Amino acid sequence: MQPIIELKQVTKSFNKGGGFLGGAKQRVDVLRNISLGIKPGEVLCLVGESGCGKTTTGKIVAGLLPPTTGEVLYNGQNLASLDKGQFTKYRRAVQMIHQDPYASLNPTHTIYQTLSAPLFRHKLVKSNKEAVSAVSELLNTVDLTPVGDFIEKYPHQLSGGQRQRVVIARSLTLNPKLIIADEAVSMLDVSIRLSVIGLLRRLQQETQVAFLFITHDLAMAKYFGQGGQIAVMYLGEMVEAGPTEKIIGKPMHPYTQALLKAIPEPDPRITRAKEPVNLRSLDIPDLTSLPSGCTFHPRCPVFIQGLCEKTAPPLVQQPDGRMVACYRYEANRNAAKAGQSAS
Amino acid sequence: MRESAAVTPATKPDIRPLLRVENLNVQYRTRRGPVKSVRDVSFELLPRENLAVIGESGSGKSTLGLALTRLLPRSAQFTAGKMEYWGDTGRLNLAEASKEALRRWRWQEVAIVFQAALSAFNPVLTISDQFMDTAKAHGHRDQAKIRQRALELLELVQLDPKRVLDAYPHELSGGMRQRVLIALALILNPKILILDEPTTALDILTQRIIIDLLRKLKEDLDLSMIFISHDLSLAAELADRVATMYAGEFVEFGSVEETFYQPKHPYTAGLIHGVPRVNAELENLTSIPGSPPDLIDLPTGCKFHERCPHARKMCRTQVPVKETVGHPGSGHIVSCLRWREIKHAANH
Amino acid sequence: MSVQLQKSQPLELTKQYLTAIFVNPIRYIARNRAGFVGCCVLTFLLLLSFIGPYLVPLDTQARIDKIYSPPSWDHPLGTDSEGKDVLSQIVNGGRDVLIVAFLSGLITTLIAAPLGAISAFFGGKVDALITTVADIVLTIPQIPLLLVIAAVIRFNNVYMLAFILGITSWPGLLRAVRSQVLSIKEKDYVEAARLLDLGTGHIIFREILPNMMGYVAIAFILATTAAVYAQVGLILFGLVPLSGHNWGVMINLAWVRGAIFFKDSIWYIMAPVTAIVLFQWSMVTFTRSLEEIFNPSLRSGD
Repeated sequence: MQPIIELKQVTKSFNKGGGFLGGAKQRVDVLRNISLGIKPGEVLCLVGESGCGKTTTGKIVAGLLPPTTGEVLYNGQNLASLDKGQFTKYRRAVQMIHQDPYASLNPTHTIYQTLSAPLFRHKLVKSNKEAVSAVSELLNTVDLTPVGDFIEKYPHQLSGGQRQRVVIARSLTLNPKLIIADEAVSMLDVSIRLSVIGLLRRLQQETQVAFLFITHDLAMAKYFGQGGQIAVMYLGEMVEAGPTEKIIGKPMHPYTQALLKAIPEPDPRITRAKEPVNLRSLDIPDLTSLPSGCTFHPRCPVFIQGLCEKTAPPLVQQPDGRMVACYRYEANRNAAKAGQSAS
Repeated sequence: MRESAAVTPATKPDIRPLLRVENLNVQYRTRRGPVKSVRDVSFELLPRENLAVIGESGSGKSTLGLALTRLLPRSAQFTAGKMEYWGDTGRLNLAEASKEALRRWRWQEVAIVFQAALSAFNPVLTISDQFMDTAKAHGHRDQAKIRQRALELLELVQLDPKRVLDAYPHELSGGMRQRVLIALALILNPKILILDEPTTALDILTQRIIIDLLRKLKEDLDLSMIFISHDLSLAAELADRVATMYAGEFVEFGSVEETFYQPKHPYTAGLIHGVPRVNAELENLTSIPGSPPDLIDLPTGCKFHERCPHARKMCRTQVPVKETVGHPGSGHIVSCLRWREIKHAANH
Repeated sequence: MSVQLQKSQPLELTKQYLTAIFVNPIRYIARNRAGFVGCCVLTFLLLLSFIGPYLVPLDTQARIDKIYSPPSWDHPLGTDSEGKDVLSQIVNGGRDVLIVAFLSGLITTLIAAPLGAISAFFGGKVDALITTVADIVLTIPQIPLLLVIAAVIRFNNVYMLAFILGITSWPGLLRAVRSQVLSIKEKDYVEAARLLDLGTGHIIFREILPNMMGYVAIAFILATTAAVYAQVGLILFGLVPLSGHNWGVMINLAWVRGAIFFKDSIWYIMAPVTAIVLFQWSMVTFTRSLEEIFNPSLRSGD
């Protein structure tokens, strides 16, 4: 099955600083080699800490940012080469749910206006009556009932959770094939996160829409990504990727292992008995001065002197099917050797 | 290095508490009516004890933190039956103390650490300036001594002192800023540290650093801490006792073991069973419907009844009173009309 | 399950429109006490200047025996250096000043707001061009420029004066509008509109502009107040032909004729000054209420 969206060796750099009187112009490499594909109906969770580039990846998948190098393919076609009609199709197929429910709705529009605008624009409804009916159905889908209570309200009259549901409803208006959820619940209260995530799961299962679920919360990723794939990012690269249960249950990359050891858990006996994280350095490197070779090596508890700081390990498929970028594993050492002998 | 799983008992009647609060109430005046942020909160804090106050937005928890340090704005109406602090110099009645006495008490006996957003810092002052300012505000002027103390404290919180002292806030990461705020709070060796959302919005590895640091500080410096957060994991890691706050009041209060393994209030149980976790299976998850109540227009009867899966007709009209679970003096308190009958799902 | 929006009978609709135009704004203005007072004073001054002249005609009778007489029942604000009633001059003196001010403010806003929005929205070369032009005009000092223009063009027409004032004051407003649009452009809901392919026109006129209405309205008011000062300045410099009896001319005449040196004539000079100051104050204070009207999220308790 062809992926809806595919990223092939995408890099993304920004220029920081500089100026007429010459301050050093710095290039920040936010993404350094990202390849991924999302098939129809699939769930891919992108996890990592701040600065890993997961939000930038989401924006590139949504077409809001162009890659610096590499390809972004929609149904096999490069985005840059799409004509107007095809691009419109792509726009309708890929939608996004933002993190901040207080900033993602226009405060001067009622819920009806917000939800009906795309319907009218793309001629999915022809009259006000049809629009009201369609909007009511959308509100029902996201459990904002009774519909009459919400349809004429302004965003500031709704709670954070309700606003996020409106945002979800808006993302569904054009019947997308892929929804990118960028930290969709991290600004919501803890007690309502589960119900909103539950709603997304239900939508995913009922409509088979694909999801790119971006989060720094591994527990949320495990919950939402059940039966799907997960990719762990560090400083602009993917370090581990594969089926969610496998990666979380038995992580192979030292960074993933560190994350899982570090997560505080809401269970006193378990969390107080957790193994300590033994990273060699506490602080995360700056994107403008990345370590050589494997960017994780200064912090890695099991780093191999003479190998890890020289060259970056390639992302290689392991015997159990997942992808890992770490020289501790034979597959990676072999791939590196093969790469060396080939050059 | 990690604490053993056994946790300290709830109350020690023979030990004098550091802080005793009884019937604390805070209201804000607004156009629409009074916002009842804190309603009838009572608790004791013992020396070397960690208390976690778990609540969400609209629970009044941040107001509680400000009330405890008497930093409320003037638009707030503050009343307390009792609010007392016992330090080396004897008893201080916080509810009636003079401004001068409170100023001396603040930072010297109790310090508060706010969430380390950039807005917690003055962007045009270096970290060193912030230390100087804080020390000066509390009557210390010896610059060399202050700098020395700042260097010590920054090392204590595992930051590179030379690098951080001369930096501006925006040059530091969120985790580093949080540690600076903790260091600032420790300047005058307080006995109580109040932390408002210390790990929110921080990355996983950074959270771990802060949590381990706080654990170490409690041991090394003989501190008591009050954590105010919506993060259950923070309570699970560090708390000895946990208070669950809803609509301005403590609906449940008990040891960390009791709270997590034998919750008696439906809200506590709902929170615990509503948070996905990495280590456990996922079938038991249930979500709490609805949203937190409006603090101006509170529901009648039990404030949680509209969202409670166990609510009955009486919950709409009767206001629950605080009842003790188990033997008297156990310290496990709950405000629920039906706590005896409800059997909450078991926690692994 | 279908939901009715609003009843669409004509009577309902009319009632709704009337409410929206008259009742609601007053309700919102009244929310902010200072703004409400400002609005009342402003309304009073407007009525005074535009309706007043029909009720209190200009006193052109020179009375030598009543020069600089203090306030009395006949002349509540005293008389001027020719014995003419000051109150009638105040009532008749506002209209020209206010017309020039509002017109000038309108012209400034109509130039600056769209240009600022276009500059911010399209960025790149368009932005660079527009801001460069604005910077050039901004560096030209306004009063000397007006002095030079006055030497060439006769300011005997209110519309001409308004036009000249309008086209010299737009750069400052443009920068403010531009930065506002830049910040709105980055908002998540604008990004969502892009993702939903709602179109550039929709984004500018239905997403960005409504969120700026309050800002633009306030900018208009400030432009108007600036025009009042510019006007009075020009009149005091004697660059505008001293025909008519508007407030600025009154100040000029009072000053020139030494009204500040006599105790009794203090009313002659203070009356127009007070009128102008009251107008400026009421305009600026009124902006506090505008925030309530234009920003739905600031409306509490809906």
